[in-house]
Amino acid sequence: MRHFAQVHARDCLLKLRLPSLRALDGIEERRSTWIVVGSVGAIAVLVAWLAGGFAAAPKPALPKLDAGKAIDTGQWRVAVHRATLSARRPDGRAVPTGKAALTVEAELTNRTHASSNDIASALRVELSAIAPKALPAMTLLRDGTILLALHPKMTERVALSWEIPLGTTIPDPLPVTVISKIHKDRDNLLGGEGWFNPKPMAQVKLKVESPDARGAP
Amino acid sequence: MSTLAAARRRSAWRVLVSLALLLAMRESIPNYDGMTGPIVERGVLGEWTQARRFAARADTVLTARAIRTEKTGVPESLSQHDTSGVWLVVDATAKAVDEPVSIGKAQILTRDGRRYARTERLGSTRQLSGAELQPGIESRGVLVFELPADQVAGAQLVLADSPIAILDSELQLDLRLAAAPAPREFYDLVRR
Amino acid sequence: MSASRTYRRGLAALVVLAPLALWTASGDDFLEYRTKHAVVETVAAVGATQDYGGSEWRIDRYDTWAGQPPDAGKALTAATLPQGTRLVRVRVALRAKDEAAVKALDRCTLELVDGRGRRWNPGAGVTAARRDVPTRCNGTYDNAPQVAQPFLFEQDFLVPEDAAGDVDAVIRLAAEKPARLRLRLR
Repeated sequence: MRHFAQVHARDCLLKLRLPSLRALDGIEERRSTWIVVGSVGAIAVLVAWLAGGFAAAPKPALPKLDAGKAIDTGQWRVAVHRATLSARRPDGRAVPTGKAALTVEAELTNRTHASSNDIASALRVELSAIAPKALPAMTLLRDGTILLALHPKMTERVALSWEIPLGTTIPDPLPVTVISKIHKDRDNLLGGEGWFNPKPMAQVKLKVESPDARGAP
Repeated sequence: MSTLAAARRRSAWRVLVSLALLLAMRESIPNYDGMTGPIVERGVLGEWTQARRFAARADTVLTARAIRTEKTGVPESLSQHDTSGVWLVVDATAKAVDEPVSIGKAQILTRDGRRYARTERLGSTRQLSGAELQPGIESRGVLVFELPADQVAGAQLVLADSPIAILDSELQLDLRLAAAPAPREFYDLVRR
Repeated sequence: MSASRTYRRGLAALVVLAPLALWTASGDDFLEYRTKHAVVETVAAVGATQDYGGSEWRIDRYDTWAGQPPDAGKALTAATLPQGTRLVRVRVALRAKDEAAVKALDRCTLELVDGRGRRWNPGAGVTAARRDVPTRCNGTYDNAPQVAQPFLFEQDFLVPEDAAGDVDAVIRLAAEKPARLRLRLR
C-alpha cells in the first residue's frame, strides 16, 4: 500500500516534469516549479505552526524606573513621585460618595518651545477601573489651582487624579507607565508639526499611600 | 566608445542634479503651520498697533516674584501665588475695529523662540483677555505670564483675537526689555 | 490636424473648463457663504412700530449722555465714562402676538449699528445699580413677556463720541436668521 503511494507520487512528479523537459514552452515549466515551491512552503508553514511560530511573541518588559527618578519622554521630563488613595482630590474637594480619588504626583518639565496642556498623556495608570483615555483632574501643587498648561523650562510638581469606584482592588505596588511621544515637523495628515506616536517607555511601581487612614482617629 | 561614456556621464549628472533639486524643493516647502500661519504686525511698547479686527497698545511692563489676586466679585477670596520663575505683568489697552471681539491669544515670545501662554492661574480680575472689546472704546487691563527669569530679556508680547490665528493678523509687540528688570517682591492685582 | 491647432483648441477650451471646474469644486461653498452672510433687513422709521418674528417692536426711549447720567435712581457703578465716549440707553417696547413669538424672544440680541457698519454690544463696563425694567428681550423670572401684553426692556451702550449721533438699534432673533430688524433712533 505504502509502496503504491510512493510510486504514484513519483509518477506524478515525473508527469509534471516531463512536459517541461520536452516542451520549450516556459509556462508549463513555471507551473511545475510553483507546485513544488508551494508544497514545500505549505509544509514549512505547517511545521512552523506546529512548533508555535505563530503565537504572539512575549512583550518585552518595560524598563523599570525608580520613583522620583526623572526620564525624558520627548515633550516632558517626568519624575513620578507617589500615589495616594483618598476621599479628597488634591485641590481639597471631596469626591462623590461611592468613589475614591486615585492620585499620582509627578514632577514635570515642558521640554518643547510652547506652553502645553498635553499633560495627562504622559502617564498611564495600569488599572482596569481607569478607562485608557479617561482624563484626570489636574492640580498644580504649588498653590492648589487647576492645572491647565505647563510652560517651557518651568518644572512644576503636579497631581493627576482619577475617580475610581470605592473598593476597587489596587495592585501593590501600582504600575504607572510613562509614555513617550516623538516630534514630527510635518505630520502625515496636514503636514503640520506636533507630537505623535505615544509609546510606553518605562514603568514606575508605586506603593499607594492612604493619607485618610493615617489622619483618622 | 568615448562618446558613449561622455553621454553616460552626462545623464548621470542630470539624474543627480534632478535629485538634488527635488530634495531642495521638498525641504524648502513650508509645512502646514507655515503656510496657514498668522500675518504678523510688529509694534513697540507704548504705540498703537493695528490688527485686522482690533488694535492694541502695551503700556507698561513689570516683573514680580508673587501676585495677589481674588476671585472676581468674591472679596474674601484673596490669594497669593508664587512661581518657579518670575511673573511678567503687561498693562495694555485695546479696542475693536468694526465689531465686538476679544483677545483670544496672549503669549510672550522669547528671544530663543519659545512661546509662553498667558497664565490661567489667576482668574479674571482686571485681565484684558476675555474682556469683550467694543469698536472705538478703549479697554484697559493686564496680561500676566510666568516664565523663567532668564527668558525675560528681549521678550515680545503676542496678541491675536483667535487662539489659532490662521491667515489672520497677530500682533508682536516689542516690550523694550533689553535686560530683565529687577523683579519686585509683590504685585497686587486687586489694589494695584 | 496640426499639433499647434490642437493646442490652440485646448487653450480655448480651458476658458470654459477652468471656471466650470472651479464651480464644480467650490460652487456649493460659495452659495452657502452667500446665504450665511446675507442680511435681510427690515427698517422701521423713528418711533414707528414694526412686525418682526411674530412680535411688534418700537423704540420706547432713547437717551445719550456725555458724562454720568443725571441721577434718576439709576446710578451707574462706573464713576465717570471713559474719555471720548457717550453712554447710550435704548428702551425697546415689544408685544408678542402668540406663544411661539414669546419663545423666539429667548434667543434675541439688541445691538447698536452706525452708518459705517460698526456694531456695539451692550453693557461694556457700565451697569446700573437699579433698573425699573429688565435688560433682556425675554425679561426676568418675575417679569417676562406675555402673549399680547406690552413688554419693555432696556440696554446701556458705550459708544465713541463720533458714533453717538449716528446709531440705530438692531434686533436679531435667532429664529429669524438672516432677517433682522433695524429701528431708527434718529
